[in-house]
Amino acid sequence: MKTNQEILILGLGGVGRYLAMQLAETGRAITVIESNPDAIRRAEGELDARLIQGDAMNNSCWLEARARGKDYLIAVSDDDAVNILAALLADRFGIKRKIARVRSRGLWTDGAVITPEDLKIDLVIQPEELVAQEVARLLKMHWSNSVIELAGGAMQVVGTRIGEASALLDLEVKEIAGTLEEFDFRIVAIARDTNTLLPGGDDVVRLNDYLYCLVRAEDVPSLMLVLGSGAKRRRRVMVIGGGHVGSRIAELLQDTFQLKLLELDGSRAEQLGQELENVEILHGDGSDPDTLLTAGLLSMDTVITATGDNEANILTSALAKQMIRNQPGDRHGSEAKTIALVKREQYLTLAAAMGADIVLNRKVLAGDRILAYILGERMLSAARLYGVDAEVVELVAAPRSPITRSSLATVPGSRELRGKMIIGGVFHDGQWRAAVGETRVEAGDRVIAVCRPECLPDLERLVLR
Amino acid sequence: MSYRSIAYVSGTLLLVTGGALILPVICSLWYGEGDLFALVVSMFVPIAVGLPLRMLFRADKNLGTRESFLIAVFGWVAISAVSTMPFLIHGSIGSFTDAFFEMMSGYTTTGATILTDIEALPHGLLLWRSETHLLGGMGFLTLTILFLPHGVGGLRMFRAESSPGQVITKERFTARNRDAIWYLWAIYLVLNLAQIGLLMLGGMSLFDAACHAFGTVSTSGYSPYNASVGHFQSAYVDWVVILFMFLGGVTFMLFFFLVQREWKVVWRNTELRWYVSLTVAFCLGVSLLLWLQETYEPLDALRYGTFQVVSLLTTTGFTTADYELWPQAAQMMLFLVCFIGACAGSTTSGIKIIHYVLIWKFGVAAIKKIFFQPLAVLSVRVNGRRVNELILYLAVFYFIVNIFLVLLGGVVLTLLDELDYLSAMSAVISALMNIGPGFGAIGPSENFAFLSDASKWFLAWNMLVGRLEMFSALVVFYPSFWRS
Repeated sequence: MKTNQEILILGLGGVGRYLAMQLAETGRAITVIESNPDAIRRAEGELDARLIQGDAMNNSCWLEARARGKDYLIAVSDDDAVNILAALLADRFGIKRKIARVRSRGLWTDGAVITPEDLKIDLVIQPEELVAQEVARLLKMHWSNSVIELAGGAMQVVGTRIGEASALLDLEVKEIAGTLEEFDFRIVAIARDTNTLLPGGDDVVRLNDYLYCLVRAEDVPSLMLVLGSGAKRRRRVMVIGGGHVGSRIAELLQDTFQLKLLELDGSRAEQLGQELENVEILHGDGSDPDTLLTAGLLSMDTVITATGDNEANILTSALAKQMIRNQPGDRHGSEAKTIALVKREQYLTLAAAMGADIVLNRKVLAGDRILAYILGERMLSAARLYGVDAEVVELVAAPRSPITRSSLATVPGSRELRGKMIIGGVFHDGQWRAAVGETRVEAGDRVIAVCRPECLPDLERLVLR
Repeated sequence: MSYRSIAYVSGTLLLVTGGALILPVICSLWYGEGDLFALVVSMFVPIAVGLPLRMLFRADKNLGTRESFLIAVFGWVAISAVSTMPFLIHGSIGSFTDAFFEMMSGYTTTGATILTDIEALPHGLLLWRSETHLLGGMGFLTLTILFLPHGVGGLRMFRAESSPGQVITKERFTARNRDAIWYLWAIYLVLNLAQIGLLMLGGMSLFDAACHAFGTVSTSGYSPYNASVGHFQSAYVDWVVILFMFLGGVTFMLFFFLVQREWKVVWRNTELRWYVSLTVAFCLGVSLLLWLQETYEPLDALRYGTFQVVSLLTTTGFTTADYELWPQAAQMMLFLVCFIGACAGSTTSGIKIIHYVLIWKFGVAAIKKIFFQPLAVLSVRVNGRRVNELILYLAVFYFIVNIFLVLLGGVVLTLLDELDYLSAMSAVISALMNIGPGFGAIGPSENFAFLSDASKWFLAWNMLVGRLEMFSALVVFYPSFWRS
């Protein structure tokens, strides 16, 4: 089952380059149109793709790229208008699916006279909206139990935090599998501080871990009993920066959490006060410790820095974390989280090193979303484990694919993929089972895998070919 | 340095080499001349070594730039060494040095031979000798890339063999590198088959036709006869060979565009226009001289003149006449033609026309800017596109390095052997440009057998440097290449 999909990418910026790399890795035929010769020169020799230097709005470039009959268009150039128009052009060229990045949020608000379908766009990527959604889901997952349904509801991924009362505390993953014999379940991911583990048998469950367990739907109540999750108080969240993303995050979270929004600009703050009913709008400078104290920073469970300034976001999140953790008579400080939004992908590691618990970058989010869309077409379902950096994917093992050749523990390449991918469950003989090392997948079996987004190509290679 | 992944690719290289020996084995079975044992043993040894290497290290597939360069350079050496086995076991070539020279000359499509009596060899070995041309013509490594699993640094390896001009002509015409290599090989094989068919129509045996086609399309020049193509004394054969030498010198990508019916791309191609013009000009020049100086009748002058010009221009090295008996002006033109070469991205080696195009246009524009229009923006266009300045500089550099390597090589060779300086320089040109015959002591009626072992190794190295187009062969001498 070899992929012969042909993909045309417009723009070789952060997202375009990331996607081209990942998709070329899967053996898809990639053609890129990019106007900047420097970007092309940098990519040459690194990227197995045909690179065409030229303007995406120039018909001859499309002809040179042999656009006719390609399977996907990914329009991720700098310019919204170009991306939108490209989708129309692509439609005329007979390209089957069109993905366009559109930064502006205004075009498709309620009552819009034009829809993405009118513009022949199959998937609209709004990076800022993606970031806001991601933050919202992340927080919702983080402070409460969450459930993702798979395989038409037959299987579920249950997420829960490990409290002091939990029976699983301080046990190794393989011990847990040994002690609980009444029903099958598999721990597929652990969110711990900033990290996401896709655990092996030797990993230990710790206090405050957020566990994701794959389990049959009928066993969920029993699992909940074991996990011993108690009632939750309403959590307090502060958003610093009331721009597009900040206000959108506040809007999405206002019903679930007790929310404060700190905005530097006075008139903007007033405007936000009108728009957001359930949010306490504050006017002040988020980079100033006194202002933060006055705003009530010390009682916060989560602080989100969402100003338009990369450096300010990183520094403020570091500052906020420092202040919350070091307060006298610490009650919850060790649990408090900071989330920093960073536009420049070069700053991602820096921000994490400076102490932000979670760093979100809209380019990476947009890239992963598109990747999941394209790869997902050949997978039965793909859902994001929000809050951790992993995808849950359901797929059918292809005949003679590597995964069917030996038991899971000895599948070729499994060594390198340890910690990046877990085969969680297998549907065999009309029954779902949690997968273990000795499990053997046969052709035609349905498989549930949890995997880091950047490893989706590996997963595809393992199961679908 | 990831030696494990190098071992993996080397295993694959060996497998391909062993597999390629199947043709000579079949040929040997047909003719039954006592070379079967040597060929069969030579086929199984590389397979027996290569298979475990490939199986053992199949998990290590991360080829970085440095690994790719190492394989690009030393892969040729290793394969040439392995390929000597049939000759050594059979005993038709006594010394390893001679056999290595012969094989390196074959793989690099040089066509310089140390055999004094070629016709004394059994058919199986002769076919193997010519088959090295077939394998080397399109680049042995590109063939190997097809046998590597997806994503094993094939792209880097493909690029490891390239000169500045290649950057322009190795422009990608398919989205996937692998597809591009498939197409190139398909075009290459079709050309070979077409020539075999045409030669057989002219009355050649399948064996002769195959050997000559392998030597022609790859622009290499081994013939199973002492008198080279001249053996047949047939105008038809000469013209067929001329046609396919010429086609072998065309950028192969253009055949792809022809098949795709994108005529415009082919028509716009600057290098092709220059190639056609230069070929016609020199063919007419030499032929006219041969006619006016009454060396040949008019028609024969055209035939012999054209053949020799195309043969040397495309770095093939077939001969139909002893051109050292020709007028001095004609000889000088042939000498000049050796420095030109054909199109980049073809099976040819040598300096190549694209670099002359770049240097010429660069010079014209620079002089215009200096003397006539100081405001002019220095802009060189090839195939309707502006060329990056770095490539222009590299083209000039490439040209100068080539000339210098010829001169320096001449010095080395005169030190190593008792040769007149013209013959020595000509031998280096012949090796470096992958041509085959030269002038003087290594002229069309001579061979390389009389040289000392040291000279042979030196020339073999020059062939490799020429085939790899300098840069990757030079890169491995940078100390920083070896530091991690």
